[in-house]
Amino acid sequence: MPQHWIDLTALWLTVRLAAVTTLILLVLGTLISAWIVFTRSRLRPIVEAVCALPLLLPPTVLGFYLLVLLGPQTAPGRLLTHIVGHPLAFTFWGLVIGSVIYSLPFAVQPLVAGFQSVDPALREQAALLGAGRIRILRELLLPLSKRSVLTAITLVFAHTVGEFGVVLMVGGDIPGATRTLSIAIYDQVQDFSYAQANHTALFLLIVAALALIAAYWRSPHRELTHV
Amino acid sequence: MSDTLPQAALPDAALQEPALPDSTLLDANIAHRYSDFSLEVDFRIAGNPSAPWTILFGPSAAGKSTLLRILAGLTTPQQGRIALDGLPLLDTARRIFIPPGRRNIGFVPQRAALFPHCTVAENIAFGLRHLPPAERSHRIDEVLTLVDAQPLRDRKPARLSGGESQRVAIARALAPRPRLLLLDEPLAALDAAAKPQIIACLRRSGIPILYVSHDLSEIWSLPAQTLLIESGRITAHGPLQQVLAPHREKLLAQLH
Repeated sequence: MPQHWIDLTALWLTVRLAAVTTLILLVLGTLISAWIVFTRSRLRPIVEAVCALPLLLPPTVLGFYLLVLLGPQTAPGRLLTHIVGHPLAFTFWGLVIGSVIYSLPFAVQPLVAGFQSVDPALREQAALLGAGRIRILRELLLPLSKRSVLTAITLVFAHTVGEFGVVLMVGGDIPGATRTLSIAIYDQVQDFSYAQANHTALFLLIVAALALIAAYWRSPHRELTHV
Repeated sequence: MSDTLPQAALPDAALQEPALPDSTLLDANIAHRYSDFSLEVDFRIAGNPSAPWTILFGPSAAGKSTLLRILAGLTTPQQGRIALDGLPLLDTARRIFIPPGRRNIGFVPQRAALFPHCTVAENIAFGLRHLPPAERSHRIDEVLTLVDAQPLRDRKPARLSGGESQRVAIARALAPRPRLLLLDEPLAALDAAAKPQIIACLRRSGIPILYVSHDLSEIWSLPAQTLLIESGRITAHGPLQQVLAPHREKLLAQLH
């Protein structure tokens, strides 16, 4: 048995990445989902499609374009480099940007479904009583969609913990900076450290299984959205 | 039709044309079309303190609910002009649209639509955000007393009966002191015993009411004006018993 049964540096980095991504997506996903539910704009299907794109796109495609976008060859990349003082590719914050985009559908889809399940008559009554969209979101849609919010948090966190392709493309494999647990498994297998790889893989398997059980766990009649 | 309004409600109306008479509460001229149904109405409701109720009476699918939703601002018609106390709420030609929460109009739908995660008091407080806490609490007590629902103050909607829910919905709509209250068959789903109590609560409020019904037995004894709507057109406008006299046979049939 090695000194540590799992790469603690990679574990800490993975947890930090998943926590920061979840926090950002909780805010961003809520705002995008509320816009999708409220809007009458013709752009809605396009925005929904863009938000769902990471579900179908190979992670390497997303990673490649992010790498190009964050690098010095493009205007946004040069602007970001100018703002933070160094290129974002192959850094922790580069990974965060990649993870936020890659996990976006895991936040938006449950939140949109939750907001849409709130009886439209309740939204109308709130509007009649003088509430604007922000207040309807804060005082009606979010409290009545608690389950969907918890599902979004769980799925985004677990998905970020387990991502590989985008992380490898955008972050490379720098210990302490961009080497997450899923990358560590790859390295361990390359080094024939199968026991160590097994520990890491088992840990990720348990995290994913627990997250899904939490997402599917519901006691009957928990969430009342109708009167 | 507006020209059948009783002259007593519109003093010197002829002299004041084309300006609206002082007593006109609601003035609406609406044209709205959806799928194969068209709604075309032009009417005025007078602010008559002795008969502050107007019954919007008509068969199912006559356009009653659509008209109410347009007046409340929940549906935007293709063309129209609506004014409350002479102030425009909607004028499609001038691109004026006052949103529902700023029209000073209350609306109680057929289902109470209470916020399920809030207590009765919190439901009523929702429209009183502009008041300081003490005043808000006082107003909540006031409207709960009006609808005989004081003991329900801290209950969640899931623990209310149908009649209780409707009374709370009415209290919630009355709380911000609307200039006009729209009621879309709020008693339709209730048993006969609950109806007179709620009608009495509403009458005590003293607020002008536009009340949608297709049940003659519910409204026959009310001192009210009536708009008769059929297939999206207003076909009669006048005192209730006069306008609905031809329908009385149907009422008797319903009662027996």
